[in-house]
Amino acid sequence: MTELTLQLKKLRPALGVVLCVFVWLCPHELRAQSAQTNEQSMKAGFVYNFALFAEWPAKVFKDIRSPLAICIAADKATVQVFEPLTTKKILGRSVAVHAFGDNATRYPCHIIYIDSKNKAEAAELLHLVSGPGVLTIGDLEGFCQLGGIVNFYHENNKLRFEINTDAARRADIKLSSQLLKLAKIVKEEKP
Amino acid sequence: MTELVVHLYKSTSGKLFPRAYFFCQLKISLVFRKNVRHYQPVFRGFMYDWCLCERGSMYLPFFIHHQNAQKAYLMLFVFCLPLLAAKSALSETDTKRTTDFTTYSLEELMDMELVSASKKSQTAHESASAVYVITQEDIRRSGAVNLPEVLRMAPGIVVERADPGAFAVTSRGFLGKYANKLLVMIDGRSIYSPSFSGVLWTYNDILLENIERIEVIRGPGATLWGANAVNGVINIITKNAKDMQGGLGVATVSNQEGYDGLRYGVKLKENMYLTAYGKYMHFGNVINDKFDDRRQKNMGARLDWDMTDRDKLFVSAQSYDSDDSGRTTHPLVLPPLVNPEVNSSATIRGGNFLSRWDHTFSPTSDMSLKIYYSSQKTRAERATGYRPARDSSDLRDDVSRESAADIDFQHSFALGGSNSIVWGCGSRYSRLYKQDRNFYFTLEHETERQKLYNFFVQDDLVLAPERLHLILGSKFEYNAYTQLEVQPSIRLLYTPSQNQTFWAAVSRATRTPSFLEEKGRILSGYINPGSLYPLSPPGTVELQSSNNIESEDLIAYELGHRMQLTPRLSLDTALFYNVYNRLRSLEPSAPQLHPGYFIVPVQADNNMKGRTYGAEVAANWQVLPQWRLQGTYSYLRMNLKPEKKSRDTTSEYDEDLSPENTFTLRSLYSITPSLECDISLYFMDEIKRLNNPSHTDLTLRLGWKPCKNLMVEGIGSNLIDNKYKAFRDDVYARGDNKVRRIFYCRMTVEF
Repeated sequence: MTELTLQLKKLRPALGVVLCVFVWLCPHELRAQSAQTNEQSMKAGFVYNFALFAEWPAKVFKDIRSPLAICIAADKATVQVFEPLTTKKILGRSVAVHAFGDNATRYPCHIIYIDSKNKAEAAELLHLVSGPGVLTIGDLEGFCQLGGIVNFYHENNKLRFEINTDAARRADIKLSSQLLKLAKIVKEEKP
Repeated sequence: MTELVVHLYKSTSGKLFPRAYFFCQLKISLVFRKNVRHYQPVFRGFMYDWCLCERGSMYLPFFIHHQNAQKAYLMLFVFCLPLLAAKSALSETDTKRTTDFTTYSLEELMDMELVSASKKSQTAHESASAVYVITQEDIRRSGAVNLPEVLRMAPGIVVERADPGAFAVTSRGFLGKYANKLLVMIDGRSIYSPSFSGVLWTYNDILLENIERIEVIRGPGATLWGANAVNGVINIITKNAKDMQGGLGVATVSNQEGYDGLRYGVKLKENMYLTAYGKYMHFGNVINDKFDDRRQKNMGARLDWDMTDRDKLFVSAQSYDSDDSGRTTHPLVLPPLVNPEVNSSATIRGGNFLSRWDHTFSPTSDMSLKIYYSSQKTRAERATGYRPARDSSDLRDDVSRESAADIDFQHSFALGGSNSIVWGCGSRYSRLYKQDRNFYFTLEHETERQKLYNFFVQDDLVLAPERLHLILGSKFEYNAYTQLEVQPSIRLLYTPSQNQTFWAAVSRATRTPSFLEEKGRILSGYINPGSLYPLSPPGTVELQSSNNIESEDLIAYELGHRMQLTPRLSLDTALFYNVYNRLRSLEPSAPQLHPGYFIVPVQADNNMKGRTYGAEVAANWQVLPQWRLQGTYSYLRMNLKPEKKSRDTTSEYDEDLSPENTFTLRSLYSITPSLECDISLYFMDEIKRLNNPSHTDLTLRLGWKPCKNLMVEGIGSNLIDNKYKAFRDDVYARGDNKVRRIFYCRMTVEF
C-alpha cells in the first residue's frame, strides 16, 4: 500500500504534465458546431413562423389557453436552440418545447421537428407521430414524399422549405396562403 | 431667381417591440437653380429623419441634417439614378451575428445566407505565418472611424497619429510617417507608393462598412506579394456587392473629426450585383489648432458578376478628392532658412480602377487575372524654398502626378496527391511626374518611369497528411534600378492536433529604392549657426539620391504557435529575429560654403545594418456567449549599426523611433442583443528619439440597436491621456501636435 502511494507521489508531476498535454491536445469541434447552431437557430425562426401561419383544429387543444407544444426529435444541443421559443406567444397561447424522446407520449405534440438524416429512422418516427393536428417538419431529402408536411432544403446556401399539401390536409392543418406562396409545393409519390 | 426643388424620399418602418413602432426616412433634396441661361443643380444635402412612436400615443422624432456632403452625394446620386430605375429586386442579408431569428419574417429568413465555418479560424489556423484577421464585426465594435486606427488592434502593428489626418503605421519596427517596409493592399491593389516608398493612408480611405475583413500578416510576405512586403502585409478585402444590397447610410457627429457615408446596392440581374458608395470625411483639428481642416470625398462602385459556376468577374472603381488647408512652415535654402508660417492649401485627386477575373478549372485548380490602374495628382501651394514666403502670394503651385498600371496572373493547381502549387507572373509600370523642378524636393527628370516584371512559384508539400506541410517558394522580380531580386522563403507547418499549430519560417525580402532615393533631391533639416565651427553661419541639409543605391535586404527567422486552449480560449504567439543588410544610410559630404549659409550634401547609401527581434502574443477569450475579451502584447528590440565605412551618425538612432512594448485589451460585451458596450485600451511605450512619453488610449463605445435597420453609437476616444504628444519625424510637420479627446455619435441606417 505504502509502496503504491510512494509510486503515485513520484508520478504526480508526470501525471500533471500528461493531464495538461491531454487538455491541450484534446480535439474540439467548436467551429463546425457554431455554424451548425446558426443553421438550427434559423430553423427555430422558421418553425416559429410556421406556427404563426398554421391553423390547428380546435379539438387538439384542451382549452383556449393551453400551450402549443413543439417537440424536437434531435440531440440535446438542437433542442436547446429551440428553447427560446418558450418566451413567445402564438395567438394568445404560450409555447412549450419538449425534447422528443422515450417519454414523448406524455405530451401531445402540435409541431414536431424531426432532425434526422436517416430516411428509415425519419420514416419510422413519422409513422409514429403522424395524425390529425400534428405538423411534421423535417430536414431530409424526400421527407415530404414520406408523408411529412414541411421539409427544409438548401438552395444557394440559403434555407428553403417545401410543403406537402396533401399531408397537411390529411392532418387537418390549414396552412395560410402566405406560407404556401413561399414554399415549393410537392406532391406525394403515388404508390 | 427661380428654383425648382425636388425631394426624394426613401423610408422604412417596422416594429421595435410590442406597441412601439419606428419610422425612418432619408430625404434627399435637389434644388435646380436657374442660372443665366440654364438650370443648374445645387445639392442641398440630405436628411435622416426617424421617429419612435407608440401607435397613437407618443411620438419622438430625431433629426440629423447634413449640409456639407454636397458634391460627393450629388455625384453618387446621379450615379445611382439609373440603377434605382433598373432595380429589380432588393434583398437584404443580415447574417452578421447569431440573433433571435424569431423576430424575422419568413421572407427575411429565406433571404439569409447560412454561415459557414468561420473563415477567420480557418485561414489563420492553417497558415504558416503570423496572421491576424480583423472582421467587420471587430471594425464596427472598435469604434474607430478611420482605417489606420482599426489596425491598432492587431499585434505587432504600431499606429500613431502624426499630422492632422496623417498616420504613422508600421509592423515590427521602423516606425515613421513614411514607413517604408509595409505593403498595403485593397482588394489586391497595392497602395504602396513607389515614389517615396510608403503608404498614403489618408487618401486611400474607404467606407469602413464596406470592409469584409483585414488580414494583417506580420513578417515578410515577399514570396507571394512581392517586393516591399518586408515587415508585413496588410490585405484589406472589401465585401462582395452581393453582400451590400439595399441601402446604408452612416452619419457621425463629432467634436473633431468624422465621416458620413451612403451606400446603395442593387441586383442588376441573376448573379450580377452592383454597389455604389460615397464617403465624406473631415479631419478637424484633432491634433493641431492651427490646422484648419482637411476634407475628403471618396466615392466608388463595385460590380460582382458570377458569369457561370466557374467564372467570377469583379470590377471596382474609385475616386477621391481631398482638400486641406492650414498654416505650414517650409525650410528655405537661403538664410534665414526657416520660413515664417503661412497659410497654404493642397488638393489631391486620384482614382483607380480594378478588374479581376477568377476561373475555376476543377476543385483543385483555379486561376485569376487582375488588372488595375491608379493615378493621383497633387497640387499644392508651396514655398519654393528659394525666397521667403511671408504670405500665401509667395507660394507657388507645385504639381505632381503619380500613376501605376499593373497586371497579374495567378494559377494554382494540385500536383499528385501531396503538392499544391501556386505560380504567377505580373508586370507593373509606374510613373512619377513633377512639373516644376525648382522646389525643395525635385526629380532629376521631369518624369521618372519604372518597369517591373515578376514571376513566383510556391509549392505546398504535404509531408505527412494533415500533420506536416512544407511550403517552399520564391519570387523573382526584375526592375531596371536594382536588376533581379530573388526572394525565397521556406516554411514548415506542423499540426499535431486539430487545435494546435506550430510553424517556422526563414525568408528573404527586399525593399526596392523609391524614385526619390534613385533620382530625387530633397532639402531638409536646419543646422544652427555655430554648430559646424565657432561662428559658422546657419546651414541646411540636402538629401541627394544615388544611382548606385541598392535594395534593402532582410533575412527573417520566425517561429509561431497557435492553440485553441479550450473551445472558448485561443492563443497565438509569434517570435521573430530579423537581420537587415544594406539599409539606407545618409552619408554627409563636406559642407559647401555659400555667402551667409552652407549646404551639407547628404547622399543616400546602403551602409546601415540592423537586427531586430521580438515577440507578439494575441489571445481571444469568449468568456460568456455575450462577452469576448481580446488582448495582444508586442515586444520589439531594434539594434541598428552603421558599417565601418559609413559616415552616417544619425540613422542608427532611428532604432529609438519604435516603441518597445505595446499592449491592447478589448472587451466586447453585449448587454442585451440590442445593446453593446465595448471598451478598448491601447498602451504604447515611450518613443525615446522624439521624447514622447508612453501613453494609454481608452476608447469606449456604446451601441444601441433599437431595431434591425438602425444602429446608434456613442464613442469616446483617447479618454485617458488628453493632449499627448503626436508622432513627428519630419521637418514638414505642422507645429507642436497634441492628440486630444474625440467624441463621436454615429448613426447607421439600413434601408
